[in-house]
Amino acid sequence: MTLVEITQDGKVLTTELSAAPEADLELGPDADLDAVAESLASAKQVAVRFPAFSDGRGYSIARRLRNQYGYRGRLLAVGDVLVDQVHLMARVGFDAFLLKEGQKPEKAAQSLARYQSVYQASADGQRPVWELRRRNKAA
Amino acid sequence: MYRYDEFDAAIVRTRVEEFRDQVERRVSGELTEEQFRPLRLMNGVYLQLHAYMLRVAVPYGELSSTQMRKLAHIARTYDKGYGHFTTRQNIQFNWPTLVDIPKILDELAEVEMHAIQTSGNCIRNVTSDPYAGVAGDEVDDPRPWAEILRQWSTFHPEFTYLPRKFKIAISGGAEDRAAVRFHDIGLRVVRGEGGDIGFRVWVGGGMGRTPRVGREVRSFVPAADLMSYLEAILRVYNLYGRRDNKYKARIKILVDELGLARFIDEVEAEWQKSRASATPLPEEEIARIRAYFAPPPLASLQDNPAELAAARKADPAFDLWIKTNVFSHKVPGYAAVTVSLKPIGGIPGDVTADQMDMIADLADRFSQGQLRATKEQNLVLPYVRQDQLAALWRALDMQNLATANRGLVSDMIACPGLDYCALANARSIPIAQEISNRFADLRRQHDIGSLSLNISGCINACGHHHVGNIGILGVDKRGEEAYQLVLGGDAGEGDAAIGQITGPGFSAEGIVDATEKAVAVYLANRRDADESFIETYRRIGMAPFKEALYDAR
Amino acid sequence: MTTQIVTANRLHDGLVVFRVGESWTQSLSEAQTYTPEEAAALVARIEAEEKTQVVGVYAVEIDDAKVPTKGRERIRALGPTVRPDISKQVEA
Repeated sequence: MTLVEITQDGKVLTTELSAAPEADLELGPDADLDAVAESLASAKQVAVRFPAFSDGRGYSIARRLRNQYGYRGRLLAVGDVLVDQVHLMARVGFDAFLLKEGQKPEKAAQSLARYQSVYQASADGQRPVWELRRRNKAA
Repeated sequence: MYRYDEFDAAIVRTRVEEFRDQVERRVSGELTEEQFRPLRLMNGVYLQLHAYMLRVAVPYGELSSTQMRKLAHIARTYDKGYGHFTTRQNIQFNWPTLVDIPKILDELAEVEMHAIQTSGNCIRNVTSDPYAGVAGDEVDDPRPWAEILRQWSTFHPEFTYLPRKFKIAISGGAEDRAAVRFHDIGLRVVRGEGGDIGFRVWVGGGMGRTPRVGREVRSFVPAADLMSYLEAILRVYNLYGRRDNKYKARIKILVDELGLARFIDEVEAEWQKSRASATPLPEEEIARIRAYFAPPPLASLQDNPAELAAARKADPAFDLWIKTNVFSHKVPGYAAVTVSLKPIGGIPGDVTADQMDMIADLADRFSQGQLRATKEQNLVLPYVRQDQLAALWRALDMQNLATANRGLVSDMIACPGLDYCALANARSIPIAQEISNRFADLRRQHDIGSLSLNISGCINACGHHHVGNIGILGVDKRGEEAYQLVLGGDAGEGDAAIGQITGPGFSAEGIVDATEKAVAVYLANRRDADESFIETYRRIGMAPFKEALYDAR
Repeated sequence: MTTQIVTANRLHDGLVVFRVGESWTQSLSEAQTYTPEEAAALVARIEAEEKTQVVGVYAVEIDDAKVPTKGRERIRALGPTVRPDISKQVEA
């Protein structure tokens, strides 16, 4: 299986693994985050499972983990993780992706690099174009 | 109107490249149809009954003449020479090939257009009042807010795989002309106690198999909080909306199941937690976007010029058209003109490539190069000088675009129905054509007066039958097309109502007779010519209609 | 005993096609006919083998004149009834 990671300095790394990486905590799409808040405090690696790529609950769970629970460790997407979704996942706070069998890692890297500009503030720290426009005007 | 800056342009170009790559991977087999389907839908590509269909976004209905010419070119080059304007102010092409669609998207990008999020389980194209910036009753022009919502919702990373589609409408006038209470989120621009701009918010309206009138969740959201508040609503929906049954997946069902009070509690709690990390809406950005919607340079004129009065007197057909197809403008001496896409016996909303080119030319000549698409499937020229109305009317009439029927019985909303749609149970267009022919006499239509007649070919209600004063729903009755009649619907916020079914259904021929009977009951019962169909219906109720429709059978 | 034809939409252009031999045709009159059992087996085989050729493969019942018995399938096979100028409705 293939693990795609975004490093601290924004590089994309691909690793072939023989077994899924161990997570301190694995959350399903209906996870109650208040109930696991304590274990989150000490966790270094949290996995969020996508039972189907069309089930978008994991995006809101990630956003809450990053923006409301202050989770700073590695956030790993597992399950039906496809290359056409990883850039959205990165924006809500995921920094590691265990790709579904058969997905091409180079396509995942392409997806992560594709959009240079975004309209929303989210959990990835990327500045929305509304801030960039203000800066352009000031310059 | 809004113009792309380098960021907007780059985002749309990037999207075209992304989609081109996805199409190539589908054709090569790298993507399965199951994986590709949501990707193509999010870019407006359906597989319909006969072919692919491409739905192009017309954000909040605003179009330039240049964009209209491009649509004509696309219709001619990649389709069969026509397009179809929809109830969500978009345009659909019925025959593009999949492999041509990236090229079509390139062409659209040249004129700052796209097909982003015109389908799929994401935030759809935002709709608004076709008379925005024109109507005299506006609290504020809704277009800058709609454009802010367009940008905010474009590739929103958290809300791209929602339980189901999500539609937002916004209106800014004292009268709601955007049916805000029939959307997942409805917004009206209002002023707070201190005179500051904000929004009144309804959630969970919609049609389909479970029609609901939107429920108010907040009477005032300050402008600066617009996105943080909407993100709170969407997060609650994304996490708790049902995903086990697509027929119960819309936000209206979540509001039903939680109850309004608990739903509001959840949203408020989420808002308090997330407000700080949500997308901010800086004052400068509001001002930057607002500047694009400043009115064009207009002449200083008087209302009702002598030329207009003389032309009305000289030609009764022109006078009739002025009565229905002209909307009064907030600027003296100007008018907003409805270009009717409902010729008698025609296909509601269909326009040929030649007509599109002609309309673009007329927009340049008479309306500052600007156009609007309406949810009633017509077009509007928003800046016409009153002393040029007669010249415009003559030019429109030559293209069969001057039917004097806006808001009348033949100004029908009809979905494509079984003639095009893979989901339909019955045809809608032939019924619309039959009814239009039955009421062909425009004098009679003007006598009947204001009446919305909406036709859907299945329970999904794309033809808005639930909110027609008269609604028609096509069903499949043991392999035969059959039609139910619905009365009393109203799309406007103040009087929002879902129509009631009259009783047993009718055959294709029978429904046309039934429609005529319902109109006859109204005419026989109205107090005077000023009492509209819906007013009479509200006063006398369903019983007299039922009696006329069924007792004689 | 009902007679069936096998239909799909072509992947690259979306147009309606009908099975004939190992190939596809856009003409209803050229479509090959099958027993329901043959059609079911054929649909399963095409679904497995022709994923990059066609989408939405299924069998349609036809009458003696080789016209689909269901209204929806007639419209699908022949084109929009409201646009005889661009449809194949005249053939019927």
